[in-house]
Amino acid sequence: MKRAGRKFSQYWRGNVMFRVGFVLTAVMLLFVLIGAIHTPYPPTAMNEGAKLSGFTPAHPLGTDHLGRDMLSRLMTGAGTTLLIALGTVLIGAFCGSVIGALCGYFGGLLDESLMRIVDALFAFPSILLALLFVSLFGSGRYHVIIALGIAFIPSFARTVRGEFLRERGRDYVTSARLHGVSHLRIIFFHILPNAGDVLLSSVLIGFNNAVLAEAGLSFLGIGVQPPDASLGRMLSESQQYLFKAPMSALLPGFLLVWMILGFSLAGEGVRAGER
Amino acid sequence: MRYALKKLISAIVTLFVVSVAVFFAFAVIPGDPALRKLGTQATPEALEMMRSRMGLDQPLPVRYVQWVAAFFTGDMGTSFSYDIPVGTLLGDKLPVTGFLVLFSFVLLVVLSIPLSIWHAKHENSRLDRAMLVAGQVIMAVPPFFMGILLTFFFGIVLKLFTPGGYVSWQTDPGRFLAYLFWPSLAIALPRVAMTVKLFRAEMLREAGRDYVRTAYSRGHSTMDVLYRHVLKNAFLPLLTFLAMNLTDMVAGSVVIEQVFGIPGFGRFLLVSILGRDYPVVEAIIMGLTAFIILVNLVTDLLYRAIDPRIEEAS
Repeated sequence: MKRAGRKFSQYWRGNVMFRVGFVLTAVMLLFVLIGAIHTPYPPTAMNEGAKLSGFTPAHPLGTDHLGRDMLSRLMTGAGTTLLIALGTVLIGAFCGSVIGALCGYFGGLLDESLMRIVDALFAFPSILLALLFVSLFGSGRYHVIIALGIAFIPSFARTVRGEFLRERGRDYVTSARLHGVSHLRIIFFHILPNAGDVLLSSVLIGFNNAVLAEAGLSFLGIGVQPPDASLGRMLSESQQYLFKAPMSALLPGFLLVWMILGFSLAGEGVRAGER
Repeated sequence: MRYALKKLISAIVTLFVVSVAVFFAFAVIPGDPALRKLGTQATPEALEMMRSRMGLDQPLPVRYVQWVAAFFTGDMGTSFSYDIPVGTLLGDKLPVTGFLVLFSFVLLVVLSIPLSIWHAKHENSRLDRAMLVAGQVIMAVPPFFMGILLTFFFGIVLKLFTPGGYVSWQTDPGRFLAYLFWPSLAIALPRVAMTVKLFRAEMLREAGRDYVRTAYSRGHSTMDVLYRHVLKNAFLPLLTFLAMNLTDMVAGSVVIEQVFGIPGFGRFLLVSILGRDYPVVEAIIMGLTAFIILVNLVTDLLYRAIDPRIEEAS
């Protein structure tokens, strides 16, 4: 914990990008957290009398084409997007780290064969891969998490493998071997912590790509299913009302930009802080 | 030559792995294509006959070989939904998506290279820094939202084009291209921002090298050093980056086509996924994969042709 605090202040003092990114992300998280506890209206409650109302005192951010309160929907929608991205990155980072660690540490035939598959998957844009999975297993939020999670494994596997290739020849690894420490213990307790910084910045970048991919899938109508809200879903629903109510159509998009900008700045700040 | 051969073999292996995965994934999912075709009222005998006519009674590996062999003869199967050969269906869509991706790529190259050179020349000026910040924000805009923003500003507010007014290339090639300009711009803009950032940093790094100082001390002008030395060396990383962008653009076109109502590969893929028209999905996925692998292969070879040192490194 103390180490994390020191890292944080190092990044914070280090560059503007991290500071701006951190503040943007913190505000976003606060917005979502408040939404998780309380929203002004139930996000799916329709108000027949106030469709596409524009900004009014009753609905500070307006309503959508079914008269649902935009502020409440944005709060829960951003939450859904964040949760899916989080699940995706967790699956991708966990499986990717394990595969990358084993391949990088042991090398040989295991490395060759697993990396072939990983490379094949890596060449494939993640949204196409997710489309393929969704067409096999169906849509809905859990399927999207699994589909995107699998699609994200290759990039993590490659990053972690690179770190392990570099570290495995170091003296501390040899010394641990000579002390009779088991391979698995060396992998997960000796080498993996050293890959922490690299993993952190890939997690932040991966998080961003996950937000983007989820928004894309939901925008296409094969991600989150109605009446669930997610930012991509809201954008695709409101696109046809761009003419009548431009603000409520554009709001989910601006929130999405906010989210992505926050993560990407924080991620770049971390990467710059390492150098 | 050995390098090229190695890369070629690795590309073929990748294509093979993907084709096996795609084929078996679609072969083992629940749902009987014969039953789909005949409906639930069909008699068991009719179903059996249909299965053997569609080749579904053969063992999976045999079916895989037949499927691949058919691909080479240009036969990509028959669409479940339309009962027309998939090749015919995809034929009209290919030029649409092809042009969209090509157009975006051209925009990317035409906008990003001069912009980065400008940035490198005016390093740390006020405009340089302001534009870098703007670039950082543009990078965070998802392409489909960029599409919606462009539709709003240029289509609805400024009325420069009619949103949803797609014109097919057979009717009027000029208006077809004019309409494609906006979706292409939506795909290209966030990538221009990324490319400028990368290329600017790359050029500035090269500009700090010893050979640049040497060139200056020998009396070369800034223009000379920039165009004859720095640009050449900074070009290599850019090439890989642009190729990576090209493959991502193919994927991005799926979503953009939906935003602008363009009847290309992407929309067709989506309709086929929703309608469970598996032969079409398989064909599109395989086609896109083949394209992506080809682009990667060409990049590797080009990279090697430009910089022969690569071979020793790999």
